[in-house]
Amino acid sequence: MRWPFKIWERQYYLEPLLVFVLCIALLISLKQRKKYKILRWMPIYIVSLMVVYASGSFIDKKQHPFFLRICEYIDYAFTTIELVIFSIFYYQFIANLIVKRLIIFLNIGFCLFSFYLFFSENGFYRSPSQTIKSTVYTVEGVILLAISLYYFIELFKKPFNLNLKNDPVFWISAGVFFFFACTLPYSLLENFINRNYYELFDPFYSIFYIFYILLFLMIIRAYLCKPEKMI
Amino acid sequence: MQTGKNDIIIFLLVTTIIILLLTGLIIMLIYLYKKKQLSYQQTVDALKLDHEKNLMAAQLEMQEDTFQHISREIHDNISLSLTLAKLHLNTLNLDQLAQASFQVNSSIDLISKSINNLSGISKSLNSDIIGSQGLIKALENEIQRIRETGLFSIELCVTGEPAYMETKKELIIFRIVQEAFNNIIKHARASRCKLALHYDSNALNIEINDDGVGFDLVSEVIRQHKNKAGLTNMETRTKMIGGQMQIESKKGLGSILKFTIPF
Repeated sequence: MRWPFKIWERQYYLEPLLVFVLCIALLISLKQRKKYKILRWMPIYIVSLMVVYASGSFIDKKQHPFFLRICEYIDYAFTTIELVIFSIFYYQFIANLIVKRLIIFLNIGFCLFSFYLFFSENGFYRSPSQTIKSTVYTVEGVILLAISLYYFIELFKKPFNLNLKNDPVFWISAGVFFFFACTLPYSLLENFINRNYYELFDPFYSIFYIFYILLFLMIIRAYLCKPEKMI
Repeated sequence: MQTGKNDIIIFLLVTTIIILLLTGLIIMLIYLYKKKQLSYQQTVDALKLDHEKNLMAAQLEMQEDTFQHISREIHDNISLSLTLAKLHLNTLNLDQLAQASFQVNSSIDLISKSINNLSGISKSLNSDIIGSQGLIKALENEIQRIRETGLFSIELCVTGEPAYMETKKELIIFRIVQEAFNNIIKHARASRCKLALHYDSNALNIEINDDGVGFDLVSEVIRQHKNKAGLTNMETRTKMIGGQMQIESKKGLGSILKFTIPF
């Protein structure tokens, strides 16, 4: 049982903390699933991230190339699920029709682009390339960053009479904005670090854990918002 | 290699921290801006609610005043006349025909007076005349009613081109003028009164002046504010229709009430 502690130690014990936050987020999202309809896809997102980390932990123990490949595919699929879920989330309340159509177009374009990269890579049947995963993730990050930025611009311009403290959309958008903006430098340099400074790979990956924890704390906060009474 | 490793670590950490601070700043600014916007909107809503409450209170007050006016008129005039008529008829002695004839004629006069008074009250309270014949006609009727009491001479002067105003607004103006006349009847001991209406391009200017006893404006306002009647009432009604009221009065020198009501 010493193996998880060795891995956790390298990443400053942030992974178990993230798993703990994920469990709380899942419990709250299932308990409050009827409260806000716009958050109905969040439990799927939380479960899929849990699957990613469970498979990652399993691979760290087994270290078999086949399981490594499966883990990579799961990670890749999660990237797509993450983009689709947040795109659906933003699609529900962005008013501008052009931006709504752009979201649909970007999602379709992203899926085609990532499938193209995936199937065009040599050694497809052996293992997906780390390059593909990094490129796909970076593109996903930029798309979601742009959408969340547009939400904040719309929020600033529109004369909303909304208490942001009790607005779940604001909290989730803030979490998404923080996460993808702060992890963008790392995702851009991921391949470089992986090739040249592999010993730094795990410690730097903890940046993702920190901002995932922040994102899920914001999601929990979104679920705890009190609905505004309409008179 | 070690230098390169350190450079990478520093670069990533510094970049992440800078981006974190920038994104935090952006979100905080938006949050504070929307909070301020919400607070402003809540203040405006509270003011609107307050204004509506005041309007409703003023309307209830007007209703109460009207009921009191009816009650006073019935008690002071009609009730007295009918009681006297009943007394005459109760003490009728058919053996003394001359006296009986006098008593019957007196009773008829008193009952006619009561009927006229009731008719006058009814006309003054009925707002249909405003809708059917307009403000000026309603004021002419009211002035005629006051002339018939013989308490003081009263003159109406209309200048300018009469403009269209909503019936509700004209009704409130009529009630304001009525209240002013009631105050002159009750308190002013005037011998002459003049009502001037001047229609200009964007407002109706009303001036009511009398040569009565006048009053000390400051102490009167303070007293009436405590009793919630009279001048305060007129001011509230004037503000309700977006107008302004001005009072000029000195003891022994009569009073002038001026109203400016925008169309």
